[in-house]
Amino acid sequence: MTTIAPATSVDLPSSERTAAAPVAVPWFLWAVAFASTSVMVGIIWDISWHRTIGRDTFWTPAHLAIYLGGAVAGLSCGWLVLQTTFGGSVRDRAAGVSFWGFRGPLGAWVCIWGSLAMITSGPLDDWWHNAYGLDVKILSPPHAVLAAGILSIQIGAMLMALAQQNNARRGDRGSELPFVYAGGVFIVMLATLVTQEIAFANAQHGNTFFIVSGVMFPIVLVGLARAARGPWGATTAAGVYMGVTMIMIWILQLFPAQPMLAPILRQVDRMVPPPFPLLLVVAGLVIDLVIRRLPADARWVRQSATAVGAGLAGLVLFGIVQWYFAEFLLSPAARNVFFAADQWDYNSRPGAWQYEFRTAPATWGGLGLAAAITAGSSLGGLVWGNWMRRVRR
Amino acid sequence: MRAVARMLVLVCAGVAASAHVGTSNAYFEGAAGPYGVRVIVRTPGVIPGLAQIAVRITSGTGVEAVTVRPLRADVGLEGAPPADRARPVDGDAALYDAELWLMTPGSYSVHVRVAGAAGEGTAFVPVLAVAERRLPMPSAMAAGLLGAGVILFVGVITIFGAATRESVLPPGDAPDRRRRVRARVVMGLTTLVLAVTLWGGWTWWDVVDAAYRDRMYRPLQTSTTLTDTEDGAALRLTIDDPAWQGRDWSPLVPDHGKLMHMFLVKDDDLAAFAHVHSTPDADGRSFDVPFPPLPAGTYRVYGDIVFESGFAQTLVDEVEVRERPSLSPQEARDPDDSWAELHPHGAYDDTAYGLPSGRAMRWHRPEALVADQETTLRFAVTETDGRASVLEPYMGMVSHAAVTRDDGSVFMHLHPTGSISMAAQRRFETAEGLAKPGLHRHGAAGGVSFPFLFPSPGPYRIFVQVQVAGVVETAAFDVNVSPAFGPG
Repeated sequence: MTTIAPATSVDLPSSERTAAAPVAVPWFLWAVAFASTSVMVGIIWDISWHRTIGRDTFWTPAHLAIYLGGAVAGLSCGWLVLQTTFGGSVRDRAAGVSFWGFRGPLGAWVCIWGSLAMITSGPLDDWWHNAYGLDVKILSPPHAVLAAGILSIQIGAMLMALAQQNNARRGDRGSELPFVYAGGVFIVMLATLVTQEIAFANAQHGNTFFIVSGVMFPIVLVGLARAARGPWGATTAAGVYMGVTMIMIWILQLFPAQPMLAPILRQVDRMVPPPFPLLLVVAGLVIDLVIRRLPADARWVRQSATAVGAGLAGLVLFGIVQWYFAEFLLSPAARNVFFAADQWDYNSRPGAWQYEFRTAPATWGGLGLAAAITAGSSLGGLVWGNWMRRVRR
Repeated sequence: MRAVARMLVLVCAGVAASAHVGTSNAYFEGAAGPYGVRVIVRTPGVIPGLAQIAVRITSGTGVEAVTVRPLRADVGLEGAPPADRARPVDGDAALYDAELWLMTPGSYSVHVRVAGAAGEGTAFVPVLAVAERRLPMPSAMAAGLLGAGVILFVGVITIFGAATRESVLPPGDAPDRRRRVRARVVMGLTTLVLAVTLWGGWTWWDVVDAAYRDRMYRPLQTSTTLTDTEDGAALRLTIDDPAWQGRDWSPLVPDHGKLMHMFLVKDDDLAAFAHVHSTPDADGRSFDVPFPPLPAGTYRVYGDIVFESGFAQTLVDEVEVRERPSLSPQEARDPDDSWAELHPHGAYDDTAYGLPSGRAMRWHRPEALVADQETTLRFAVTETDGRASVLEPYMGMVSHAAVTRDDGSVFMHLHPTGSISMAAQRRFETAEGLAKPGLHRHGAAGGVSFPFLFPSPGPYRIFVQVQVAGVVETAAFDVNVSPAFGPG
């Protein structure tokens, strides 16, 4: 067993020191931030590839970006663990957690787990294609294993950034930035997983949209708002989600491409971008404004009420704004390069359905269920956020 | 043993695909403009899946490029992706290969284009895209995945334990007893949650698997009856399948002028064979045909039909004949109906067959026939004096053949143009405005050849039909097909 040195024997950063200084980002944080971004860019690119070209091999650039991210996360964190365990100082080892006799930051272990899950999903996915045919859905059991791996890398990046933030001196400028960036990329992944349910404007008036949004977003946004040191954790992360998605929308459309599978039901001559991002900054803004008023040591009842209030207020305002924004996205004004609301898969038959809501409008019953789920998700976010704000290793 | 074989027949019939039983591969031999081509499409068995296309140039020189495109029936060439260039195969200058994705179930055609010094030509090879098999997971792979799964499972529990025990402690602080206990409790809870998650994943997998099996192609359910009528015994094949009622099927189209080509094969010894043509009743559910005067026994019934979309399918059933039926009057029969009594399967291993008229049919049998390898079945018919017989068209074809495995797990109706439905091919040609006259390679005078690929090893019988001097004659040849990688 590894012996842990007593706290007094280690020269630890003191949160009492107040000298303001920009935070130096260590190499492994750069590495996992790159890994998390590479995987996410690869996933968005790959989905676009399937919607535009259709045919692929393992060696498409999109797949390479995904697996490069997995490899960078696994190798960099593996190296960090080996370095910490065998070559690190007492202080380095004391800054990690123990795992099967090795020591390293908690986030590194989560990233390594994510890499292994991604590797495991590879042969399973390949067999799945041979057994049941190529996927036509984002979510399948092997993709769920891949998604678990990717989400782990993103959560691992968040945890490593958290330890950095929480060990930084009070007043260190920007200590929360790696964390909220990692959180933003995590939101991109979550939103991508439910693309078919909520991402397209013509699905955004139905019960499913509000229920799925209520499950996915409050837990993350409340958690980020609670855990980030800065006042705009949720807003910034939501902004990162929107920014990454919009950049991908604008870049993908620059590349000419043509479908390579039959049936081709519409002519496509450039990469089909993802749908325009949800206006989650609205929810993030409301949640930040409410959560920031919550003292760190508030009683549990107050914490819960504040979290539920923040989540509900955020999601209600987001829901209202998105309701009208969806109508805008279905209008001719959104059929341009900026919003890309007129870009559809090569194998979708052109028709009026593109610009019509395809689900029945939300009902009071559905919205009530969504509100209850939002409250539960917000409480989950509070618990997660409270834990994250204390993560030190 | 017979019972086992019978069960096998039923099982295989359940998973059979395409216009044939036991294989959905498609073979075509014919013309692509100035070039003779033989095209073999090995279907993937899963949809979406990758079909393997082999194009052999059988005549014409100076070929510069061979390209292939997949066409789905409803969108045709307009909705087809750009052509893929087939690659020349090392060591065989006339052979080209390519791969094409079949993305959705239904009727497709592979559009083959050959370009070269003599100009360019095209050919359509109808293919059915259907899910017909379910792949088992190799045990080594299952073991590997299980091992990885165990590592991941224990890894998650360890991470949650470490997160609870140490992650919130300032660097350097050792966890106290309370934290250690709490970490164990969390690890226990994580184990429970993970177990439930795994169970959920397993159930999900089961649901996907069940839905896939549901989508797998199976022939329409049918029933057959044999009744005595004034005109003799009448066989009625009825489509009972609920999918056929209120059906969303396109209408049937005639293939060689017939809406159904029905084949009857005596089950126990394959010693009786008929190729008859039944007509549907008013509601299109039942197909009636006079049963030919063949010996009593159980007969396998195969009914080939083609839909307007180009989708072809074989209905599979069997019928019990208690006594030899009498010959029905000529006006009750289709003029192209034919039947024959032959030697029992396996009783005669020769490449020459004496036809009832005294003529002989000789099979130019290759040294070895191996499963899943392209071959040509060549036959020659000679008069009693040894001269080559003049073969007449029989339903527009110089010859018809049926290949069946002894247990019935494979059945295919072949022409010199291959296994494809001519009606389906014509449908694709017409849709693209490229219909051409029926120029199909028939072989030399007195001889016929069929492109073929035995889908599995085992004992087979080949029935070959030709028409000479207005009489249809049927020969049968038996062969044992070797496994692709040797018997070991």
